[in-house]
Amino acid sequence: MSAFVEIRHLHKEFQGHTAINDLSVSLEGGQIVGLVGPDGAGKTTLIRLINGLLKPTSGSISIDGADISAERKKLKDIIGYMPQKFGLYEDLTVIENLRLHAKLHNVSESEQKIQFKKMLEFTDLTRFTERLAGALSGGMKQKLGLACSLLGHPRLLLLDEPGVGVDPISRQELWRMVNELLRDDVLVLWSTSYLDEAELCKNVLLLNESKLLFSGDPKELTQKLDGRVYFLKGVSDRRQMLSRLLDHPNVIDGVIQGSLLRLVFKEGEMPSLKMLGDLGNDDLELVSATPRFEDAFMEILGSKISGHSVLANRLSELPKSETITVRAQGLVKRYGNFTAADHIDFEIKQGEIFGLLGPNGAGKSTTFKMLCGLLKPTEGNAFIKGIDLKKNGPKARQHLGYMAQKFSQYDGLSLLQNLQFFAGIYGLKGKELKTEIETIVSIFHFEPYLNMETEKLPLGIKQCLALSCAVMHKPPVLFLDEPTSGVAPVMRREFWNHINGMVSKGTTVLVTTHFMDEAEYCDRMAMIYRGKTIAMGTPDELKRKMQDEEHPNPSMSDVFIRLVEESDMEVST
Amino acid sequence: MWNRIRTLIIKELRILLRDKKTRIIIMVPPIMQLFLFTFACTLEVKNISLGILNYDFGYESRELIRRFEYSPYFKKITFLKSLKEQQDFLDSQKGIITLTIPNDFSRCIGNGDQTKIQLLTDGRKSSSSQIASGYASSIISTYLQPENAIQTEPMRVRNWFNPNLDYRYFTLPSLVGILCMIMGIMIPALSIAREREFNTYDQILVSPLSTLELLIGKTVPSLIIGLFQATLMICAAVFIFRIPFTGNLFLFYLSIIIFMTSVIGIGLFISSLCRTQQQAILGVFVVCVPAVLLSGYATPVENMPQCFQYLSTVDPLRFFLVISRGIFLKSMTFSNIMENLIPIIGIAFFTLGFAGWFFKKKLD
Repeated sequence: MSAFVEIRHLHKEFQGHTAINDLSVSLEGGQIVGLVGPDGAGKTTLIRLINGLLKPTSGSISIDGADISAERKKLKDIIGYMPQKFGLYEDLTVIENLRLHAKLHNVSESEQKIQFKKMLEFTDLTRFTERLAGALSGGMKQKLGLACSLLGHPRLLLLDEPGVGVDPISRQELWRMVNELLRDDVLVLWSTSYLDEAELCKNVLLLNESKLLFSGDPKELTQKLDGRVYFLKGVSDRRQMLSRLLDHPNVIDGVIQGSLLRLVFKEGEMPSLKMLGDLGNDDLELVSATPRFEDAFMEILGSKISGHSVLANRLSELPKSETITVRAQGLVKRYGNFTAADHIDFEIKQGEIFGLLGPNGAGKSTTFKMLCGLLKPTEGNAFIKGIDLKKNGPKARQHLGYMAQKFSQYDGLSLLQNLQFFAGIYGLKGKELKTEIETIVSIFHFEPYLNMETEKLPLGIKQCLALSCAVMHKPPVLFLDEPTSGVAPVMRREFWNHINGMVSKGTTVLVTTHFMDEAEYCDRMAMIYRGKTIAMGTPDELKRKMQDEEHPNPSMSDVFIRLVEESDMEVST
Repeated sequence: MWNRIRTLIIKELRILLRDKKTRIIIMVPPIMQLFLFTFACTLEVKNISLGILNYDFGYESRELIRRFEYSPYFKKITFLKSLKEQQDFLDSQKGIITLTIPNDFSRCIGNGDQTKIQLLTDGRKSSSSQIASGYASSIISTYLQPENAIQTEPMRVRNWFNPNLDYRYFTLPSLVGILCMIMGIMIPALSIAREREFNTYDQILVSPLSTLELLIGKTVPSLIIGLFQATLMICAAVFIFRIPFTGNLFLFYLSIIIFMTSVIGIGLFISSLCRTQQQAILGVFVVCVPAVLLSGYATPVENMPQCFQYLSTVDPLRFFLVISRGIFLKSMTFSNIMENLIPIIGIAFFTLGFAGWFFKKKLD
């Protein structure tokens, strides 16, 4: 008797490029299987293959004993599929979307009523039945998408990154919904690039570069790291320390977590402070920590990154000072009756990383845009290095480096032409322009890609190009809008290495994110919700505030959820 | 500042000319349209298909029909046998005009009596029918003139600037203007919409580029491409279609530059309103069609209702057509050119200013 889903020697190629390489796995019903891997690993391809939307180059997939490519029609009714994008008709209302999907799944009229009622209650969308799907928030859209894919009681539920671009609260709700729905025979395949999400699954498939690296309980992987993960306490300059430690042969991975450094050690010797050599500070302390799936993921990929940022090396060190480089002064943005940002005030000192956190639509993007001059504030002022953006926009913007959330270099130009363009509009010319481009090219090893059109570049190179274009003119202030959403952990570490390096040299960074790991890198942050700042402080300060018996060691995610809940309570009372 | 503008111009040109396909798209359609408009859009009535219902079998009617056969305007002559066939001929649009010759035609002429001839025309094609019946009447009246009448010439018409009344003399110089306008609106209209679609607009807005720099950087590339296309079309007009170019080439280029600037302003303005390239193309369509209709290309401005005549004064094409025809055909003088160029300059200031104001509104 074969398993519910049986994949044998699956192979898929696109124009000579391998997307899935010899994948064999069998999955039983009644569980949530996490499909994990960085962008471009082959997750979406695998899901589309299982769904029968793509034909395998070789190998087979059978569901409930029937081959998907031969008997797709028969299997259609037992598969529920939620694509990453475009799953909903934005111009239809919530209920119309449900009706449409019900028809597509041949759900009878009488059955529809029962299921709709259940779904609407379940997703808490009953109030919004008549609202257009396009007008829902990101989290609600995902919930509706999930509800649509659940109609007709599928036995195999394929969810393609339901958590992408959704804030932690909505992600938590989605997770809860799927868990509650899980009946004995349903198999859920949950694809995600959030490793904390994967950790909750009993069974994960780990894909990287089209290969299946691991399948099984994530605990198996994390257990291997027991006794090798530590927090380093009492660090005075965490960025410099991290950069030093990452170059240590015994440290295989390290990230900043608030005021602590989280380190993963090589297998073998029992880690100790002595092993790390002279760190020039006597108050250091190593505290054992629980390994996470991400640590295991990094180990299994086996790529260690250097702690030094060559990108930062080209910057000359700015003299340390306490000057305020970015200032938001009573920023207000109103659209008609709606206030998107309500008197936002903060100051960022030179050499500081400041984070703007908040759920989707809370006003953090609005605030961010007002600070870089993309939006005109209704009230208040924004200053960059003391220059009012309203009064002298071009001059203030000269000090800015900006990296947008979506890739925003010119697809039609080659990599080199993009570099030339962005260097040119930031006023570099002649010899200076040439040497700067040469430096950047050698730092990121762009040589093989110079004349390639940008749209054809690999994702990692694209990300590096975006960063290069933002920092080529050596801006003292760097604005990053969700810089690493959907980016693989290795690349995320490299990225933050560069940022840390530049900050050590005195660059000021403003970052928006809903990636809670990213928030840990910030020196200070402001939590934005419903257009207002609901909390501000260092990550540790915020965590300490939230400490209680239930959460002795709150994570950034917990803090975020608690703060939003508290704010909701205040509003309702 | 110049360095930044130069960078922006190079980038725009690179994106526009990046691959062979786009290059062909920019070069071929104007020339193709030029040929298409010139040959397909003839304003002359030629090759008319004529139906003849002849009840007369005498010498005079045969002679009259021969006159029609040898006329350059009437190409195909169909002999109809009955009233019903005549009806069919017009109903099914086999031709637009029929000639009915009565049975006593030859006899009356022989007797020196008065005679009658009927011309039926298809009113659905009013202007062609009118022209065709004009040709027919003139053939008939010449034929009916007594043979021994003294050939006097009370009046001799001479057509200045276009002695043979070749319609191409009229259409080609106008087409240079119309096609330049369409390209001049289209290229900038798409350029900013494209930046929006690919998220590159924000990236430009956060750069230290000022409104003026952005405006110049977006105008010049379209201008360069527009001038290139204009040159192609002028060459085609002069060397392929043999239209005389009598005026001052330098003044013509000056006028084209100013005219292009004014329409690029319109394009940029459309672009600043649109989110996607699709919307921009619709916007271009909405502007271009009325601009051509109001310009006096197809119908004289003087024939329009007064309010449309006023409206046409904001149409840069209206003034440019006068300049283009004038320079091509009648060596227009500088002062005459300026008379028409000044309104275009005014329009250019207005459209570019408006586009700039819109950019600025978004920028600051």
